[in-house]
Amino acid sequence: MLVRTRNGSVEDVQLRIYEPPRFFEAFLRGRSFLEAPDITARICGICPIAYQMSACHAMEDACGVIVDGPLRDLRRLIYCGEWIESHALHIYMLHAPDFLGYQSAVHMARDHPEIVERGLQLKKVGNQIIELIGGRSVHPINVRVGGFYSVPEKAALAPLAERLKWARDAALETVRWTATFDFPDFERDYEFVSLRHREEYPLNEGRIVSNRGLDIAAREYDDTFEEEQVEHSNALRSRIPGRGGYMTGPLARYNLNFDLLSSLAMEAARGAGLERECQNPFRSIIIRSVEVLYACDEALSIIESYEEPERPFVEVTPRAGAGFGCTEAPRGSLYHRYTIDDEGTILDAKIVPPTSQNQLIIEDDLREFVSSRIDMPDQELTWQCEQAIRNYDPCISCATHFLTLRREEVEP
Amino acid sequence: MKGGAQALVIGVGNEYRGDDAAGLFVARRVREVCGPDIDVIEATGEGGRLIDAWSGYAAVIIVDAMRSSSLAGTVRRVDATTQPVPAYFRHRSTHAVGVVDAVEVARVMGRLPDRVVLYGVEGKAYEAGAALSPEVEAALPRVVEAVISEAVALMELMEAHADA
Repeated sequence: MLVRTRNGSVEDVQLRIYEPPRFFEAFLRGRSFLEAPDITARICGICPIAYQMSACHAMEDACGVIVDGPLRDLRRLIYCGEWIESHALHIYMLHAPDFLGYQSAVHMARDHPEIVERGLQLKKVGNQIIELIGGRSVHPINVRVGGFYSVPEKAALAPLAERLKWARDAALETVRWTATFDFPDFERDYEFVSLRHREEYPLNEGRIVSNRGLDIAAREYDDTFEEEQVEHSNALRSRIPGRGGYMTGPLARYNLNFDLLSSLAMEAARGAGLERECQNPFRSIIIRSVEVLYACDEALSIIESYEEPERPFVEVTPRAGAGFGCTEAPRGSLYHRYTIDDEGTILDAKIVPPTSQNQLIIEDDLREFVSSRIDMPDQELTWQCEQAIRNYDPCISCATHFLTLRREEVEP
Repeated sequence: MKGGAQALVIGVGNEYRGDDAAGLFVARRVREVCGPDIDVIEATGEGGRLIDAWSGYAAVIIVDAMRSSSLAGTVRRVDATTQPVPAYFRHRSTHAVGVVDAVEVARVMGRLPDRVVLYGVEGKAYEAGAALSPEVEAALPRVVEAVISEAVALMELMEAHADA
């Protein structure tokens, strides 16, 4: 991170982000449309399901196929698994130590082993869902265009339901626990962007909406958002022309879909002191916890009503054209676009991950955040900025201390 | 077979990131050579899953790429049973808790196997889509041999303890 100051006030903050999808776009050209879910799943070890789902939906869109019924439910179920796993990791191992003044999860575990254990167990339940539906939890192999290679029998889901009942209680505890943290007084007037579906809190499907009137289908994405190359980072930065940066992720989903949370999740949010809308990105840790609770609830309800489908997948015959898919990865909207030919060969691919969509507002947040803390010693400022960046759970908050602070004083 | 006298070999890496894939190549080779005699898994290095993976095993051997400012292809063995994992294993760029934190969190929480050994292979090329560098490729057979010998020795040791 570069902080450039002039006469003691912050002039610019730049964040350098490494972003892998660019390589995969080139790699996908010339491959079969059926390979896209498995290849893109390897972009991210934490959210392979999101990549698989966006790829599947885009390919089905290109081929004019709709997957519904129990196959659609299973997709929601496996996505719940990924939300539980990814959010639990982020809440317990990365973000909570920031709030509680610990250098890392290791330090937090020394004082609070039972809390870290709860986080690990919660995360494990997410893993178990992915393993059961996806075949294995690291780079799941059972997801395919049109559905799955094989589907579970109803009885196979019963043990999962038992684990999920425990997880739902643990998630409720997590909401209560994170609500007790001290939050910096920091609010900005964001444009929030997420999917919105008429009946359900968004995971796989919906229109792309915002609190400033945006309401488009995934196929209108490229007409609405633009990506800019910036010199200081190899990630592309997204913006809405004429409006600027926007936020995607838990806070955006919550603000745009509060009415679609389960009653338990809604109640827990209220109990945690959250209003219907939240403008403080630091409180995203509570909202992630609310989403874990929702995902447990939703997974349980899917399991309860699940009936094994007759076939594990819908046949998808390729046809020349473009397909668009946007789904809600744990850290925000993940957009895929493919052009394929009659034989299903991929001619072109575009992938826009949540981190590049959030990059502009992360930098804006930091500019404002650093401005009021410019006299802080480097070490403390770095720590606080890491916490601010982690609000977005970006693909850079890898190890506990990922940030290198560089200050540059420009000649007045 | 899991737990008891069994050792687990974990190869960590991303096969689309050049030398970062070193651990995966070692894991696959160990599996080819030893078949079901040694449990082997491949992992992205995400910490929570590592802790789950080695749960129930008496010994774990982790193979990963490292950045320790040594010559590419340098191999280091670290016994992390009692000493902390050196920081040069902390190099991966994902939004995850990595190998170092997983071992240390598990140590604090009593979730670490009785023996924990890491093998690090110094990489030099980590670009997306890059192949293994010749130096790393040349080092892998030595690592495979060392990992197999160590896994076998650990299992014999544990069996001897169990018999005693």
